[in-house]
Amino acid sequence: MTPWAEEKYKAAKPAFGPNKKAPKDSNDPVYGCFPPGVPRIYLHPKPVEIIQLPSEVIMMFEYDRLVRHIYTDGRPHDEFLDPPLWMGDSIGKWDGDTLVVDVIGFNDKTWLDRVGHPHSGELHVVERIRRPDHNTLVDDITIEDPKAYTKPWTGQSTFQLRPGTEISWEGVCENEKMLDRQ
Amino acid sequence: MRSSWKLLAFALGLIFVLPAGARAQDEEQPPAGKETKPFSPQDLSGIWAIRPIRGVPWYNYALAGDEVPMTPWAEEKFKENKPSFGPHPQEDSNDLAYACFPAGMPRVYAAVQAAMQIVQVQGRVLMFFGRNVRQIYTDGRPHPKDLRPLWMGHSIGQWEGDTFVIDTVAINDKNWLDRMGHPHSDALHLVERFHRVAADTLNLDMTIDDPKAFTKTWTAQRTFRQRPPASRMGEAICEDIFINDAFGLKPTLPSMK
Repeated sequence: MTPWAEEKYKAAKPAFGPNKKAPKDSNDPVYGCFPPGVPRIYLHPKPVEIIQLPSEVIMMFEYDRLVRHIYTDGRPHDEFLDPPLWMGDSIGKWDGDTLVVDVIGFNDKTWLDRVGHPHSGELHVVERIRRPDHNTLVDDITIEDPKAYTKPWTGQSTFQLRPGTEISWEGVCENEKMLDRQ
Repeated sequence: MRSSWKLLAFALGLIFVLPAGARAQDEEQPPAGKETKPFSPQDLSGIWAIRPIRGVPWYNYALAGDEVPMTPWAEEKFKENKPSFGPHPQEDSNDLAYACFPAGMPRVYAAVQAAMQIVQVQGRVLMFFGRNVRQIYTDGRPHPKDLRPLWMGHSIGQWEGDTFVIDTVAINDKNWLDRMGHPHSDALHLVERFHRVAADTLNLDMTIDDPKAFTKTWTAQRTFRQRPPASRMGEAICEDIFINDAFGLKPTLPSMK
């Protein structure tokens, strides 16, 4: 991490990991029902359904009903990224059997993971998604953020096909407690 | 209550998604060449935006212009509801939309900036209203018995000629029928008939059948224009606008360019 990121990391009060606190003492944005961002969305253990259309790949996450649209029709990134996005702007193209997804346009309000690693608005995520066998997806993720990290680094998410599973659209983060704030 | 944010959201229409490619200057233009562009009526896919009608302000908060025939139960609820839209907007609204719950059906149609994306896949039609997603089963299944109420209801659909007919039940009664505070019960039976009449034009006829809330069945119509293929659904994060103070996050508003 850069010094900027180290400062932010110290201020984070996660509910997971070695320094975890109780959720009620956490300042993790997801407890305010804010979107987790990309690639953190992959760390929330609920299913995702992927639909492929000619012009886009749609990822529908059961976690908080989030939907990612990954445009594969050759369009460039959205020039109107104002305000910047929680889940970024995703475009994708095929490199042989690998879907290469390029994501920019993030705001800096999400954590990269559940232990509180930060990122800036300069975050640039590249995902290389492939299906080595019928039941498996592997996503090699590169994080590039010169403001937060002194060099790019990589991680990997693996997914298992669950035939017959349906996404539930009832997973609403908000509950009655939110109404007390009104 | 953050009433200033509500007024801003009203102005920006941020509860519902405006595709990034849509700017004010092209809302009113009649699309060119619509008579000649070929289309398949059984293809409803694309991003569709409600076509507002000049001089019809209620399009932005109600489904019908005339007062709807409420039962005494519904009249009571209507009096208690405090909408921030409509002929009597109230500062201290108790509209659940401000707590960032899903909008429910058919409320998603009661806003002129409502945009939806329709995706047709095997056995299902998906409709995305921002993060309000509904799934319409087209595989011939009936509604399950003993269904608990759902935010967007349980929908099944089938084609009647060139009209796609959606039958929806089990919509929970937590949200209002529209944005001006008309209620509905969980007995609501909503029927939508979609008919693509031109390459860029999709007509909707809906029937509201809720004997607990309305003394008779009534209907409402909307027309949708297709957005250009390069449109994006955009991102509208309700929490960002209304529930942002708890975590020290400032609201995210577009800069005034």
